[in-house]
Amino acid sequence: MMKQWIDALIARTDAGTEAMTRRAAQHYSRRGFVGRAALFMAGSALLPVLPFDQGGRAFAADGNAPEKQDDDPLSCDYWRYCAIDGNLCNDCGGTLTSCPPGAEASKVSWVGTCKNPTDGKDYVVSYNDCCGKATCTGTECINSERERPGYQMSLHNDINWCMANKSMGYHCTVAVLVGQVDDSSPA
Amino acid sequence: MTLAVVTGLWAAPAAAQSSPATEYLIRCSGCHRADGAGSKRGGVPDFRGLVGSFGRSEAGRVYLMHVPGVAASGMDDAGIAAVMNHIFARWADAPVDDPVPPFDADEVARLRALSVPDVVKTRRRVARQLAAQGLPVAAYPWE
Repeated sequence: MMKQWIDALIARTDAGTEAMTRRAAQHYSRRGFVGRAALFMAGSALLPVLPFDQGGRAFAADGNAPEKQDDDPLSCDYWRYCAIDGNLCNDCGGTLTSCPPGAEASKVSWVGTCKNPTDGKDYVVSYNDCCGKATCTGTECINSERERPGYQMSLHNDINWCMANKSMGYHCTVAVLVGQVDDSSPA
Repeated sequence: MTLAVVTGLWAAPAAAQSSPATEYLIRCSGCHRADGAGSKRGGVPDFRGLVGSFGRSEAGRVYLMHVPGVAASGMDDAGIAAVMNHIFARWADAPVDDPVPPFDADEVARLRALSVPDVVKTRRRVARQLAAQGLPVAAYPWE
């Protein structure tokens, strides 16, 4: 059921991308700058859409996870990035929590839980993608705490979370704190 | 003695669950969003003023126990009940004198055990029944 849902979502993404590509092909000459630039962008924009891209996972193996820090949000061991998969928006003209100009925040997102080493508390982090531009060339980080690729698609940080946006090209990822984890058991 | 050790290894303590609000954030808000709006384009139903309708019929309640977020949540029955009641409280917009009946762990267990082979077809059928009763449901693109 979950697979059907995700398959249908990806099929709509494909259909939408195809329609956009056809329209662009009809309007832009291959010899023009836009046509040439589009070829480059199409290639790099495809990469984050592959659902089981395992690139970089050697660093996420159990026992090899780096110590988390709370000082430098441009480094992949910044504590909020414990489950990020993508390019840092704050290295792409945006900030830790906002998209670069021209890119729109994703309507849906992968939500993770990371521990802040400064206060020892767990925080809920929403990794919204910023969409509608070609993949930026800022710092790329891949961490996987509590990610469950394949088992639960909603816990899969490799998929393109721009899937529900009008323009689905993946540009970069932000890390927004949306809450603190409290440990109260249900009544 | 050996048996006690073996069974002791299996009896791992249940992980403490967070408050229903936090569980919603962690397990549901990625698609349904922190404000319950969902995503029309993404086919994620909007809760606001609409989700309570499903809580008002047996068929609707069965459907709720088979949506992807519940089916794949990994939560126990009491946890699911708590998050569903939190969702009703925030977004059902029910009158004070006519709240949506809350879930409890027993009902969650009973409804989840029922077989729902095609949740999309089920929703469409339930939506028609609710519409006939004047109960609105969210837009839904899946066929």
